[in-house]
Amino acid sequence: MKPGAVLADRHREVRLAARDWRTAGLVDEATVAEIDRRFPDDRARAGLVLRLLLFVFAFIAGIAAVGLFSFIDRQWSVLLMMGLVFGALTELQTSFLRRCGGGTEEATSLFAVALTSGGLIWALNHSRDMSSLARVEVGALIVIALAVGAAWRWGMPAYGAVACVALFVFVAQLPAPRLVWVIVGAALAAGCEVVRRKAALAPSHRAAAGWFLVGTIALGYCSVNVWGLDGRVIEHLAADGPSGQPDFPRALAILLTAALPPLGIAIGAWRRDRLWLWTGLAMVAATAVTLRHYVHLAPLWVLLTGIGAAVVVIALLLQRWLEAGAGHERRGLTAQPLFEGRLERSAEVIATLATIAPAARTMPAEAPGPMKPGGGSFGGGGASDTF
Amino acid sequence: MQPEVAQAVERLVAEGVLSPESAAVPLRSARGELLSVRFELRTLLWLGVSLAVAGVALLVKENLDRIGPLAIAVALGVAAAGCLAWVARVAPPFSWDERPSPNLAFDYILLLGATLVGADLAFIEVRFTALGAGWPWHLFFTSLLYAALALRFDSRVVLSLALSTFAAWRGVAMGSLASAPFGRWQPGLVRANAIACGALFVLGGWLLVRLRRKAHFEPVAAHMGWLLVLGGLGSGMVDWRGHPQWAGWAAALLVTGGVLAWGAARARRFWLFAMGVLGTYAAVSRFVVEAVPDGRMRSLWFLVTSVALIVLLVASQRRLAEET
Repeated sequence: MKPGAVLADRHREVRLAARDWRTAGLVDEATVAEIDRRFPDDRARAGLVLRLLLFVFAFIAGIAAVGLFSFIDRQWSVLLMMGLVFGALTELQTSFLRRCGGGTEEATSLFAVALTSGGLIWALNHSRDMSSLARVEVGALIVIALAVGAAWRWGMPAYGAVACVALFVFVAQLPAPRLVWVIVGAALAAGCEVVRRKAALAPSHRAAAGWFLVGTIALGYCSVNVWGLDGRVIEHLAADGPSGQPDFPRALAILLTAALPPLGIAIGAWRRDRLWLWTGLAMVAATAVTLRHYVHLAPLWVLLTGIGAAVVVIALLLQRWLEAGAGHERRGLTAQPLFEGRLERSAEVIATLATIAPAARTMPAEAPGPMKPGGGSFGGGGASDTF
Repeated sequence: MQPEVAQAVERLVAEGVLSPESAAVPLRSARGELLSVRFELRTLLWLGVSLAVAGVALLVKENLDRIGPLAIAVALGVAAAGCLAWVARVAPPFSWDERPSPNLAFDYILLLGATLVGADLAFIEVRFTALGAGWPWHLFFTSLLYAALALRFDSRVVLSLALSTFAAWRGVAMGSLASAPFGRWQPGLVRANAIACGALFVLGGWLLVRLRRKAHFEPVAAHMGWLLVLGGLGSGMVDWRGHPQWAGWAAALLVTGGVLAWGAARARRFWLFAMGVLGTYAAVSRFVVEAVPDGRMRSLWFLVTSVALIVLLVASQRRLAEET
């Protein structure tokens, strides 16, 4: 990212935070305008809906361009050339047109990475000297390089996850892939955890490290999950398929399948980190499904009803416990609404797209109101009920 | 953690833009010293309710013979009544305006109670065939009950359930009618009902705003309504492939989508705007695809028009003024 883009990225974080404070009733419109003046953002950005719309049309244009060129020639060189053209288009938009989060440059970057990778991998497949294993390895390395490059140059965080998945495919080709990923994944997770807290990095780069971390945790869990071990899932990713005995002790896999979810939640609660909390909760769900696969404790309807009721009770007890703490918080965790406006809006988008149903109504505590400092009471932020 | 926000808060306090009192909580939040888990708790509540409802559905399906239909019907009724009684006890008095939720669990227990009532009614209908051949009517009565609960307890989630159940009633009723006389599926009737339902929802939403009665329900009705209208027109356009009728449906979609996009842009309603633009584009493209048999020319059409639309949208971005 160019220095101007990094500065705009940092200012954007402040401007978004100011809007969350406004939603919470902490500051007024004039203060937000003053903050905007002091933290200018020179990038051309689009609102959420327009961004989605622009992405869709840029995606259609990209598909049409690929279709058009496929009539001319079906060669790896054409694919590679198109990938480079899309890369140049992305560069043009992010650098000269100063577009960021505008939908179009995200679509062109997707084509740039996908077509360049596809072209290079296709070219590799023409090489008769390479084994299929080496081809997959080199192909994965190409995707890693391009995804890391896209995340670094254009500041698009989702490529962090793409790079992580490609790295996983690469590791799956090595001997003892499960063991290697557990070791490499743990080291990478620790590294990402440090990187995503470095103030010197741009927010987008920190977010990319966060995406990479999520991928590392998810794939790490899949590696040690006992169901995945029994099904030889990772071994099936290898170019030459599964062979020999699994490289991981089954007893350890059972232990880690049970231990990783609470560990994730504990880290999330300890570090007050939403990323760890969510990955921990997702792992709890995956472990519950794994347990059900092996142990039939009760009929499915009993389990579903019982777990559903237990989840509701746990959520309500947790809320009460947090509310009863000094200043309605315990160790920096609170059930009071703070500045989750963006998170709520993202959830609303998903809910709108999935069911055309809005999120639950605004809570009384979420209505704009005064906030007091010093660990006392908090006013409200929270969901917007507008589309 | 948001280090730049933490630095900015300190700077804004030093420069007098923020008071130290109002900066305290944002500063703790930006430094990662304070995190609200309210969103997570709400997600857990929604998940718990969904799992419980799925479990109940499975119970009804798998244990009908063992437990007995009457016991199941009574148990479901008691559970639903328990949920709704609690909701009624803690709910604020009725108002035509938006009312705040009394606590975190309120909406989710209401949803659980409503879905249990729906499951109970469906079970009674299937098992005891109270309505006989007119069994789809139970969906209509369920939708009315949901609508009443949504109005009384001011729940947009339950309103959404009411509208989808109403649409399902028209779909099921027309589906059985359409296939009965000739033994052949006639999607036209279902489509016409979907469009009529959508129009009814849009009109209902408009009336709510006009009469200032639960005006905040309007987005739910409008979004679902327009989706049904555009979806119905779009399905007509696709289903009549090879028949000249497709052109009429495509023209209707073109006009409706265009009007919706124009009106939504003026009202700055971005989701409706997106629906209108996509509907219009699909209709125009349908005409082009029909007229141009050559694959290259079709690709060229999609390339050129997509780029043109991108330019148009970017140019009108400022006028649309969606907050970024």
